[in-house]
Amino acid sequence: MSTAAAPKKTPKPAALAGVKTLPAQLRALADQIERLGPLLNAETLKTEWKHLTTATDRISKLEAADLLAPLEDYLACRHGWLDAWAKAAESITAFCKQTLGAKSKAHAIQPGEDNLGHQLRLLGLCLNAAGREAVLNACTTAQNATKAPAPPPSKHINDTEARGALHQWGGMLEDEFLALAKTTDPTLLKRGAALLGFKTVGKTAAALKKLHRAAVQFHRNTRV
Amino acid sequence: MAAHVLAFLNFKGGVGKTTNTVNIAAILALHKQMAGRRVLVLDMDPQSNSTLWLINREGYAKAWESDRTIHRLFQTFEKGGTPDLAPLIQTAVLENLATGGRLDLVPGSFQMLELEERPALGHHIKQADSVLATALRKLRADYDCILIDCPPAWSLFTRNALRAADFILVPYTPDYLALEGIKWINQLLREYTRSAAPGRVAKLAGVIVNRYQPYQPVEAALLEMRDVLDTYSQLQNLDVQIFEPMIRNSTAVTDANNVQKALITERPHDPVTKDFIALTQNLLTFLDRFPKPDA
Repeated sequence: MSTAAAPKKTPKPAALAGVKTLPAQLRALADQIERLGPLLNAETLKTEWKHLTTATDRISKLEAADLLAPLEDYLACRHGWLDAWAKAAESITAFCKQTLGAKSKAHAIQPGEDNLGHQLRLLGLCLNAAGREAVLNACTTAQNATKAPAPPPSKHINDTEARGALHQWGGMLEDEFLALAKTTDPTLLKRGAALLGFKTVGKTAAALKKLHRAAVQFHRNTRV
Repeated sequence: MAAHVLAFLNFKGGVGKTTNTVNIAAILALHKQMAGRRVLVLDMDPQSNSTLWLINREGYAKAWESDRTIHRLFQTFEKGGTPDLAPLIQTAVLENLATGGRLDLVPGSFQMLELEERPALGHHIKQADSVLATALRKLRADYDCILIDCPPAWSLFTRNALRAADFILVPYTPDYLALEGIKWINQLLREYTRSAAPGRVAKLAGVIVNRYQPYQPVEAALLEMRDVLDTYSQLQNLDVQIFEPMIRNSTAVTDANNVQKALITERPHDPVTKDFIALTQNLLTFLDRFPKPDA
């Protein structure tokens, strides 16, 4: 922009890295060329025209939703979105219905639209309606749902101290164990019981006898 | 790149050997995330349950009539010929056209039962134990993963599976008898490894827990198994895993079995199918630690 003062709302040059402000810049540039056209020399006109066509070319390759966020952010979002569609289409469909309304006509594939086009159009609509953070969260949630649907693994199974104690208790007679239990750290008793799948263990004789029976069984069954 | 070969083995029946083989193989071949893997299932169990599950009774009858079952492999060896698996393979039993994933099958046959009694295939003929390994060597380059469904017994077919496989996966239901089954496997495996050529027998990779329910006796049984596996891990230079997630108890498995479909096709959104998918991913992560052997 060599010869004229920049319009009032021209964005900073650094913003060119993103595309959020690109349409405004484009308009400003086009206006400027039109206004100053008669005053510019041929070389300057050629340079400004090149700027304009490059920018137009760049914007023509983008999708509507690109204009809402910086390009890199959008592309990351787009990648996560398509990945989530591939791996957990149900979750993403549910998110779209929640965001755009279950009865929205947007959910149907438009005439002449392929799957990719459909998914990207929904991305644009969801970005508009819910924002980038919500969309990214939905993608992550969908991925996690696919990756970790498992029931919780057995608790504390790596507690080697409690496991060692179970072996010790299992090798004792009941009376010996009951006597030992009186002086044993209650948390160790609880951890040992938890390893064997007991939710709680009291200090009553009945509860301790139950724990001892299970410990004896454990000790016997694990002999190799 | 050559395939990893996995044998599903437990001497106790009804622990999920066939269920695990069929469903993991189907997920590897069909699931979108598995990048179109080529999978071969070898049914080494004379009961032929994997075969019946994957190609049902009509397919099994055709394979049997045309003598395209694993039986022929051993018969060829018995007659002094060169065992070849290629003509026995039923290609694209399951297929994902979008990803290129494919499941091939070498059917089993009840005729295998009589093979053990033949003199040329007896346990004293050591070469008879390597028939499958030799035949499979030519096919390793054609597949990403080869799964062997073993019979619930120590037999000619089990020994062949052990010689052909890289790793043993033990399907397990959390109870005392299944734990004893694992102890038997380990004992026999050690003895066999000592007597056969060391390094040529599959290693115990881990346990797949089936029909998991979060009850106290189940938790106690799992702890017992972890304790036993820790001892075994010290004996072989490899941590014996409990592969996660554990496969929950679900009627969907029986439903899929009843219609001879894999869970991934019959009940793709069922929680138990998601258990299987996550388990398969974790198995692949485990296998990634080991370079594939040369074809």
